[in-house]
Amino acid sequence: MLHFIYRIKLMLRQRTGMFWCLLFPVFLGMLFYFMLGNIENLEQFHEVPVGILATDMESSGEMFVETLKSAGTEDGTPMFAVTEYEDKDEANQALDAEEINGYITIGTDYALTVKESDINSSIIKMFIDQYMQNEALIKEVAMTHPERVQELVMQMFSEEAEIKEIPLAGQDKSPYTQYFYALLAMTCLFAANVGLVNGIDIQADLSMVAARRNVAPAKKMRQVMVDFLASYFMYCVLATLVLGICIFVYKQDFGSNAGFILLGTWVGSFVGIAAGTMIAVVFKGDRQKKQGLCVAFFLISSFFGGLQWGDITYYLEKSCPIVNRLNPATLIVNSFKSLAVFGDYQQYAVNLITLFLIGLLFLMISIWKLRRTQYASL
Amino acid sequence: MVVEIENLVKRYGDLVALDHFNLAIEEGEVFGLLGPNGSGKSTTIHCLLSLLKYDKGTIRVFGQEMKPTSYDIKKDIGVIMQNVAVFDELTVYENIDYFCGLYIREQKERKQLVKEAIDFVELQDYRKFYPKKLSGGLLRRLNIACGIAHKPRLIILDEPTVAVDPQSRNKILEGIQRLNKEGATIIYTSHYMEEVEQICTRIAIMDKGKNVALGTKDELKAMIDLGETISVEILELADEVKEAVGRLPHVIKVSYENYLLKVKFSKGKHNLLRLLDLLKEQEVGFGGLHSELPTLNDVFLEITGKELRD
Repeated sequence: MLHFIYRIKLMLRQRTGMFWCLLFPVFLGMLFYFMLGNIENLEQFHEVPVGILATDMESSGEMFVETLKSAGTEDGTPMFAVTEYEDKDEANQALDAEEINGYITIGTDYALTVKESDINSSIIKMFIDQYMQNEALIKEVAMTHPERVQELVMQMFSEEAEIKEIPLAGQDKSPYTQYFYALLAMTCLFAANVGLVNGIDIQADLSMVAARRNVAPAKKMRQVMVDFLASYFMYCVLATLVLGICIFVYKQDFGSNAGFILLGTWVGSFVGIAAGTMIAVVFKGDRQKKQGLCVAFFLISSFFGGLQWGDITYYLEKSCPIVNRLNPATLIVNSFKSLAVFGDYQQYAVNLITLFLIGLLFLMISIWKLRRTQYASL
Repeated sequence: MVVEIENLVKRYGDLVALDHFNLAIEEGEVFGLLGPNGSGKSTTIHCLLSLLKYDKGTIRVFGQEMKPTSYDIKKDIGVIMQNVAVFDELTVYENIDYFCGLYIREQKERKQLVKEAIDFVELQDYRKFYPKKLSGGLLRRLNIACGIAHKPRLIILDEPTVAVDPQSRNKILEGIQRLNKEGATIIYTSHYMEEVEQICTRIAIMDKGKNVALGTKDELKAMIDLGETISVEILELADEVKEAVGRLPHVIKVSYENYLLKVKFSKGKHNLLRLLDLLKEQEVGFGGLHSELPTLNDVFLEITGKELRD
């Protein structure tokens, strides 16, 4: 227990390590929060203000206005805010004052008047085109095959149903949560630095402290395991802290999956520490070289995991899928996505078990290499 | 025997660091390993501690073969490395407690031992200091405390006074003698002959991985012809006088540099009187006069043909 506590103290007092493991992810999360949070607000749908100027309001015109008013998004938000005008001057004044994006003149036809071409005017135009297309079709069928009008109307409704958006099973409602998944995966991989320090602190040819530990009667494997468990415990606390900050400070809604995501970060941290320890133990060279290898592991794994360029995982899936099955960063991100986007708990479990086995393999290799090691030179 | 090393061979590629090295150290000794840098002192220590692989030979400590897993032997050994081996992130107290904890599990016993170690190296006022805040001398004392806190029977000190101020050096040497009086066997490596002469009961002189001489300091000095070196301050010395000095009995070598006449004599009596008589006879005025007995450096010089600090 003494060495467990001292190992935690050592980790907490290593400022560089603490910066990369805790402060850097927190700062990055803050950056996401302020930058992406605003974009999300900007992309929320607001109803389009549109005017109606009826010069020749027949029954079809009334139907048009009713359809315009009843059009809405799936969650019930009206698509248009409709204002009716008595004369053209009144409608133009409203258009100049930017109270409306455009007005529709209903006569023999539906004429759209806009001040400038933008997304909202395009939405109005698309609605008019769609309405006119359907109206023409119904009129034609009514003249040629009046008995099939009802069937046509039913078909139109069913087509509408066919193109209806089908939500994925996951609870993730924000497209920006994926950035936070990447952030959590990165935090897990940073644990490699902690593992690297553990690996260096037990090898007499790499540090004087390790030489002193090697001449002590405490069994080497016991020391390795205590170091590993202490740093793993501490790293789980740090990862939990980062996740907590994402949820409570940066208001990331992981829904009821937060517990599973926490478990994912713990397994990811296990792999990170084991990978760092293995790099320190297996590869030859001095401390700087091993630190360089550790950074390379982090960068390559996170690059292939899509943390810098999201599409890489799709290309790898086509050309070399084994990378996606074994790369720690990909497995961490995919485990989060399988839950949050697809609601696929089985895939989540497969990813996590694969991650755990990879971590276990790294750890076993490290222990095997360290057993009864004597050095060629110090 | 506490330590027995037989025919130890250690190679670094083509370089033979230890060449059939033999050593036997008895209980209660302060044994000095003396030699210039690169002579194989630290390599011997690292092999003895099973840190280094070696090519040939046997090493026995406390009568048992020494292996990396010889935990029963290791618990009775304390090591003070050449370089300071402490954690920068732990305080003085925490470092000693940590390393003592690798030997002593029982908390109460360990607490007492840590306190004694801190008192021993006189770091009471620095218990909560981090290593980076300590001077070189204090850091060396912390390094020693970390190595001896568990009260080992065999203490190995590998050049513990390198880059240490004279005050701290004296404290360290006094401490080593105290540890020996308390019952510990000491192995002390250094290239400072004065230190080895001061504290060691027996000395092995190493060169190129070999044990070139072994004995007490008096036994080692007795191995060479040199008796004493007499230095005389003379303002002006004629060549004829210098030659006459060279013809005196037992004179090995005469030199005159920077107004200082240095005469090396082999063993013999009345060397000083004869030299003074000659100077008086030749009417040579002189100032200060100094007589030195042979040092271990002289022993090393005579055996290997080079200075100890080359």
